Amino acid sequence: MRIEVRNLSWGVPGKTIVRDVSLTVEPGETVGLIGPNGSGKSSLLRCMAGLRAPTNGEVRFDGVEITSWSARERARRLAFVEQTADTDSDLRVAEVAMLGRTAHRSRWRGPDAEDHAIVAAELEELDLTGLADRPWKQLSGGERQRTHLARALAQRTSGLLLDEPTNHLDVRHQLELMELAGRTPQTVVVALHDLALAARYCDRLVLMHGGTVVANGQAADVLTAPLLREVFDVEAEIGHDELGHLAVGYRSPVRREPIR
Amino acid sequence: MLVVSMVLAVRIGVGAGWAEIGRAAGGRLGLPVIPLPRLLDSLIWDLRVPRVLLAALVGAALAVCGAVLQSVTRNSLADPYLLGVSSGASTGAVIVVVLGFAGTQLGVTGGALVGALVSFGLLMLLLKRTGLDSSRVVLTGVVVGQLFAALTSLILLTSGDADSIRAVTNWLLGSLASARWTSVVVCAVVLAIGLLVVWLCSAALDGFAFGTDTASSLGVDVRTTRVVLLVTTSVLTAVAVAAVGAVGFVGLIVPHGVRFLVGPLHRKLLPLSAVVGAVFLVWTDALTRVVFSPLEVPVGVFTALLGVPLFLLVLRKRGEL
Repeated sequence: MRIEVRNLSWGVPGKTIVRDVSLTVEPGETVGLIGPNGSGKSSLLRCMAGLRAPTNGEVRFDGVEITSWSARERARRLAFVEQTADTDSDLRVAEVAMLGRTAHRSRWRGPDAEDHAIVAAELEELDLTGLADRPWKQLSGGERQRTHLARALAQRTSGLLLDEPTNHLDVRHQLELMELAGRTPQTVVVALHDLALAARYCDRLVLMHGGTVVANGQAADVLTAPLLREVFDVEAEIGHDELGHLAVGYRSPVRREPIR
Repeated sequence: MLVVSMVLAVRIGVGAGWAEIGRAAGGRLGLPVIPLPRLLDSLIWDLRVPRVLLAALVGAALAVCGAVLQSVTRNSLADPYLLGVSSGASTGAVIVVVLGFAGTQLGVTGGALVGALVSFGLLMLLLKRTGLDSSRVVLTGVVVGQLFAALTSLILLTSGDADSIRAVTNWLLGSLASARWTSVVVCAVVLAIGLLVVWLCSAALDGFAFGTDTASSLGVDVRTTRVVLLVTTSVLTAVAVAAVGAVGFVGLIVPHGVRFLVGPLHRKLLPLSAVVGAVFLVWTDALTRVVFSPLEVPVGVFTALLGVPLFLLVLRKRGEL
């Protein structure tokens, strides 16, 4: 699936949060969305997921504008994982993953054998098989995050939007999750805080600042000391670690902007 | 279990043994039995049987409404009574009674329906800014309920005579004493349709567990589904209130118990809540007839006595008390 964002703007009354963003993601590509807090990553992802109507511009999947689809048609093509989606309900891991099959079955019937097989496969993929019957309240932050991802994969979509999926994950699961995102044939857009992780697993990085895209390209072109200084207000050293992966080192900040 | 409960409940407090009940039922079915004396037959057939049936139907409706509202508002304390919908329905029904259109069951039901929808509309209007995802839902619901309770009192005290005030007050507390066949039929039809509608929304209700954004990305048309569910619960509540007055806490107690037994998935939760709600109200009503016999305590008083401790228990579990 090719995702095209054209001149997209979105905001709340009195404040524009995403400003005139244009972006194309090729089929099968994994694109990392990076930028400081409040730079508009989450809002852009929500617009791309069809959860917010842009005040201006449009989002197209394979040339079709997403607002022309019903929620159900959209959910069969595109899955979205929020940053924090919590519940008071006592749903179990397998039941949450089964929510991903909602758009694939008729209102009249419950999950069938195929649905169960798909959910079992995705739980296996995310190392959750042993936790299938565990209630939500007993899960750690990382287990919850992986459960949501299993749910999104169970939707069997060609597009996948992830909002900081590595939060709460330990190092091993961060690496596993990003490898998965990189190797699936799905078109993936993933918002990330960890720049080195983004550089290592994404085909391309998009750097956002103040609601606009300030850089879009290969990791080496986006993660440069001048750009990081401008956007993140830090002095960074870009190099390579002993395994050959791109590494970002930071100097202690000498002065700090007052927190707005 | 529901059938057994209903048959037992018919017997309780009727002052007749199994033989008489058998003869009443046999007579109706055209079996060759010795007919009962007319008074006793009428007592069983025109008062007791509709009363038990109505208890079952109202219990089922209120329990289902509670289960649905708890999921839509993501608040485990939601209940048609606590959200003020029952109060709104009462106000509507009382206006119809005072204006003198009380002759037909449909008039009272219609009034209750308008009242329920108005109070729900007001609730949604007040919650528009803060969203449905907060404890404010119940607080605001209580405020709306108080407003409509005050309106009801005002209307009654300014335009009712002593007798109608007494009758209406008894009804407002939730009483099954005035159950007749017409309200049974209305309730049965509405409950059947309402239950089917909400049951078909089971998957959407499951999806609401993680909030509206996740629900929408799962393929749930959030706005439409919400309107359908809220209107359906308003109609169910209105019909229940019009039939028996505001019986509180059934919608709170029953879904919690059922979730404990079968988990939170709505495909099972909704039908089972209906059955358990029916059994629950049939038994509570039977108790009100027996415990204070020959006095009749409105069933709503009893459900509140059972519901308030549970309400506190849920609050404590949520860490808000």
